[in-house]
Amino acid sequence: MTTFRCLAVLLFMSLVLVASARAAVWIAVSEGSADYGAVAEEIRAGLMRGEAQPEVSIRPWTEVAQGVPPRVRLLVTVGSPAFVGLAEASADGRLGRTPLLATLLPRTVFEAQKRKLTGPATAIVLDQPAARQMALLRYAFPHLRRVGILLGPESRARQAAFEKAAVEQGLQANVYKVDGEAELYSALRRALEENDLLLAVPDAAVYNGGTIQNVLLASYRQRIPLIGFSPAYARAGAMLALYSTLPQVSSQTARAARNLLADNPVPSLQNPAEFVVSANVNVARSLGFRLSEDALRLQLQNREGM
Amino acid sequence: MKGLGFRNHMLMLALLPAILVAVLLSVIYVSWNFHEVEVSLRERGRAMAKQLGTAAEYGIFSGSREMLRALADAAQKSDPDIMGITILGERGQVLVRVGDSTPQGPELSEHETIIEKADRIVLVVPVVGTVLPVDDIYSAPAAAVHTSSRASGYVVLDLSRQRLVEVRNTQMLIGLDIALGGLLLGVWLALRMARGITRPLIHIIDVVERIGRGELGARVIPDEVRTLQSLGHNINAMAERVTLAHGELQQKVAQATEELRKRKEEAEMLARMDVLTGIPNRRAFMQTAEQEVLRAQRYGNPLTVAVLDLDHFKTINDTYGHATGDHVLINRAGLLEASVREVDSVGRLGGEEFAILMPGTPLSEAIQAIERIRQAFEQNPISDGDQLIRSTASFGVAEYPGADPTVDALLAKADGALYLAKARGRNRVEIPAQKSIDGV
Repeated sequence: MTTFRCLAVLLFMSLVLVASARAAVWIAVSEGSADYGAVAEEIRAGLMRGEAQPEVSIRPWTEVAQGVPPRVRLLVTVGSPAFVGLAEASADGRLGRTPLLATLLPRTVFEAQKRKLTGPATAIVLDQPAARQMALLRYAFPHLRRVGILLGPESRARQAAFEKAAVEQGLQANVYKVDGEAELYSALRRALEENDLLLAVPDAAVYNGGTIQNVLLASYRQRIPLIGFSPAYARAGAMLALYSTLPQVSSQTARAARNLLADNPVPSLQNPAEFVVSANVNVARSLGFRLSEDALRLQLQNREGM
Repeated sequence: MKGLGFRNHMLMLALLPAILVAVLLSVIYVSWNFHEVEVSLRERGRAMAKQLGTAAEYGIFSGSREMLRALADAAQKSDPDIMGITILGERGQVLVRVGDSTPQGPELSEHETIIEKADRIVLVVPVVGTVLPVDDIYSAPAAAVHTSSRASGYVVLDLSRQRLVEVRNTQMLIGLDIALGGLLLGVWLALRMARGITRPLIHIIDVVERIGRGELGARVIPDEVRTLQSLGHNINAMAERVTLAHGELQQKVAQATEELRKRKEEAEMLARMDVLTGIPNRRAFMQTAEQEVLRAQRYGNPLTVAVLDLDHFKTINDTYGHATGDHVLINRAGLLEASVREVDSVGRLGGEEFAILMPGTPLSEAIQAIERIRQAFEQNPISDGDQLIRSTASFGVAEYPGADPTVDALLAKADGALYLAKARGRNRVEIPAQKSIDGV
């Protein structure tokens, strides 16, 4: 029996050695949403459009976390769960120094977990840069200045960035710290009373499925426009939402992966390059605003020199 | 009277099930309806509490007691069945209470609770925040979010049962009305149907009773028994046969009676007739004579009686035998009967002695008549085979009344005259004593 097992291991290792001759990219996919798989497929398609033509394999992150053969030149994680899972695996030494590209995750998650990685890591985060958001607010609501921002424990680190970007756009960012749902309403009330606009930032302690209805309702009652960070927010009743679509993130990720495989320099953290502006015209009309999604997007793109 | 009883019986037969069904139906109707109303009240209460909970969600979230009070007031005003409303916070603290609302303990269920009380239904419905699908891939990992499906507060709704009781009473009245209406309809239908059967039956019963009383001509009238024509027809046929049988029986009885009467008359006649000669015997003659004596006595009519005795009959008997003697007796009796008048009566007194009763005839006329008879006897010998037998008779004639006005006395007088005629040479007619008429 022992002899048989030894033979099998030897056979497997020889196969691995033969295969390692070709560059390989493994895409580790999060579970829980079909979107992750779709994004992975688009990344693979984007990789195949390059010159390197690597061998691309899409796998559940749990499988990848068992170990990665040396021929894998790049690991791509799609979604927060895959990144968090592989960060743990890397901390346990199961990933060696394989370079890792994280995509489709909030900046807070990447920054909290990246120190666990043993190899080089880069990320394309979902968060829109503070400067872009502040610029959008200025374009959309030229007469409004005060911007309220509720920050939970995860997103608190970005306070300075928001304040700086606001000042650059001639706005005033007021940050309210929320440590749990119990404090949410009092913070929200103050934010709505003291500001003209409410900017939502991804942070599960503040914005989640259970709280969003009341936050939207409260802001609507105070006639304060709420600016969200995903298409779902615009659908649920936020007046504006600034976000990058999945295909936009996918193609940006594929580009970054190609650069990494070609050993070109890649920034360790990229904001989403392309984006869309989504407006809820009903809410806007109710509160007396006229907004054009395309016009706002073009203004932002011009500003960024795109 | 009998018809009425029969109709009532039919009516009861038809109505008893109808009453039972009507009562059963109304009981089912009322209880089912009451149950439905109770269920619908509870469902309405749940819907109201849930709606109130949804509306109160933001008020609880924002802790706005004014908003919650306005909500609760509006809800209570909107429905008269709501006795009171309490809105509780996450930990069961009272945020607002309006009306007569049941206080709740600190332990509150995560599920909706229904407390049934005598006068009210208390619904405790947790307020669960609406979850919007925004936990998408743009948000932070779900692990960081604690579940929000936990109750953020509670709505306690007290619903009055008062209207339920009123509704039940109304339903009971309606049920009773329906039962009563159904009953009346049933009575009407039963009467109609019963009449269709009872009228013909009553008529048939009447006809059968009349036949039973002997009114054999009674018949069922077809128009009266439309639904039971076959029965009527059969009863008529039966009555026909009964009548026919009755007539036959009467006829047979009459025939038998007539037969009996004839037999009796024959027997009587036989008793009064002389068996040999066929003329009345002594008894019959005596009876007739007594009647004639009475008649003569009553009306004073003349009455004459003659007694005759065949001459030398013993010699004829001895000479020609008894058969010839009998023949002679028969012949002379026949001649005698043929010789007298219609009103006269003859009889054989015994042996060769005969008698003649002549009512309404005085002696002188009688003598002449008797004389003719004597001559007829004399001139008509009896042929017996090839020989002629001469047979004469002696006659004694007596007239009523004599010294003794009885038949026996009259006959005795005639006998006396006969004796005289015998003594004076036979073949003669004699009257008692003084007078004598010479024969040939």
